[in-house]
Amino acid sequence: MGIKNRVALITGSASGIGKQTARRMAENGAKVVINDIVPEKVEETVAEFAAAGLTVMGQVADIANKASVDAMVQAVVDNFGSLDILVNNAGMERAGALRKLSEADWDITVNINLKGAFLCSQAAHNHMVPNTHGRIINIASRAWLGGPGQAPYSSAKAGVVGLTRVLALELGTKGVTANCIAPGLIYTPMWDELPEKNQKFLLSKQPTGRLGETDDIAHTIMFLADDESGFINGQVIYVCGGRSLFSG
Amino acid sequence: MEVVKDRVAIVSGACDAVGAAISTRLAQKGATVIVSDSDPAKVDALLEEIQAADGKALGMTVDAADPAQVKAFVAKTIADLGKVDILVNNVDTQNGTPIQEVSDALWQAGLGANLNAVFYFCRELVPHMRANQYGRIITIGNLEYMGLPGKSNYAAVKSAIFGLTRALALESARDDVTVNCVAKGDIASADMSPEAIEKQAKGIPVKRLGTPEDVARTVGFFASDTSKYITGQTFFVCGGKSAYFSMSI
Ligand SMILES: NC(=O)c1ccc[n+]([C@@H]2O[C@H](COP(=O)([O-])OP(=O)(O)OC[C@H]3O[C@@H](n4cnc5c(N)ncnc54)[C@H](O)[C@@H]3O)[C@@H](O)[C@H]2O)c1
Repeated sequence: MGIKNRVALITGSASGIGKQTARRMAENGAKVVINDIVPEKVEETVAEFAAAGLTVMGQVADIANKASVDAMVQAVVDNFGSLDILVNNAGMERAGALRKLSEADWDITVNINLKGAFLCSQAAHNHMVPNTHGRIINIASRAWLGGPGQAPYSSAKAGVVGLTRVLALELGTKGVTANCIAPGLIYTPMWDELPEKNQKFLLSKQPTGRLGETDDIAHTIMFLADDESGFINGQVIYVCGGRSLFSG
Repeated sequence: MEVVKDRVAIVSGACDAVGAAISTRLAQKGATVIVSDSDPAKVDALLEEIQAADGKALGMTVDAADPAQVKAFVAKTIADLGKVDILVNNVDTQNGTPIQEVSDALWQAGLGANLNAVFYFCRELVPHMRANQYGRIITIGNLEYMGLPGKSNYAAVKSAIFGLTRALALESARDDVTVNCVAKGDIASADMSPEAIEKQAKGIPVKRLGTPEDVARTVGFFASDTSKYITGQTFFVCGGKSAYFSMSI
């Protein structure tokens, strides 16, 4: 029932949406793996959650690197005995007009957002399929629908949607479901760094007139990760205050 | 887990298997549920079941395809309970039929039950919820709206839910009123033979049929206080079968 005693690996979980999800999942009885590429942030997050009495372990790994991912997943299984829930959350964006984007901008964006989700799913499914149980939850973005200046990010996130459908069809028969969340604007500390003009513009395009919260995503992730959500597979759920009803 | 405690919920067409599961679930989680259906005996039976499990529920016999009855029912509910927070439009008559066999009467009946009923309830409750600055509306759709041969009449009315959901979501977005559609896939029903279930399960990526509870807990999710940032969506509970269809848009 629920996610109690399930082992959950959340990539990029030393910050933002991933960190709040890790907190909520651990509070609800899951054993949670904090992953990030920045060692100090992993250390800090693990210390903070452990001090609150939550069951967590840390894994520094670069999700865009196969050896690093394989070692992380092995360490999780060695420590907790299984891997039941994978949340492919780590991501970043390099934005800019086509003429300004470099090859490196494309490569890093696609490698982290898309290749990373592929590598983690591949490594994780090896442990989920033998247990005939698993939940893979990919964090895409409403932006996969396309927006000016977002060539690498929209493309990578569109890839994540396609990957979700493939995983759902390939693994669904084996007790492993795959679903995708497409967040819209979610408040994280990065928001405060935006110029007021940009904040106003972004909010003007929000049907709800406000930002979402990291908890909005955390709750949706927990719904999909639940033992009882086995009939939900291959879906994209937009948590964006209705912003997905139009693109651009 | 959904947060619906002390919310007032109307479930229309509450007495089929899916409607009963939704009503039971919302009551279990602490909502006061008003179950409405056209058959008084079934309404009474469901009420008894929910109350026996210590759920708070009231019942009302309503022909959801009659706008005057819907109006009176909603007005009475608001007068008695002070508010309605959650509306689940579950009225759903399956009548997919090859087009040459769709009589005028069958077409009108499908429109009345599957679409007009949703419209009548929304027309009464959207303004109320917006004024209250809180509301969760969930309409039960069906994967078959994507279009299956021999079911054009059903696909047509269920498709209308898609646009209705989006338009109402945008109309209400600033008032903490969310409007979503939960489209169910193949749900096992009590009258199916084990062979029929097995055969149908082969066409679903997770190789099993859904249960009314699968739909009910998804409705619970959308009905929750915590789902405030999700609106205008059509979400399939179908074991992945929707991946076999293409929207081509
Ligand atoms: N915040 C939003 O409004 C929003 C909207 C839509 C989608 N998203 C998506 O949600 C996810 C989380 O976003 P966030 O806002 O919480 O971001 P965030 O920057 O706060 O957190 C992402 C974390 O991922 C880590 N990371 C980056 N590269 C990594 C790598 N190669 N290996 C391991 N970890 C790595 C970062 O160090 C960071 O701690 C991302 O996939 C993002 O694209 C966010």
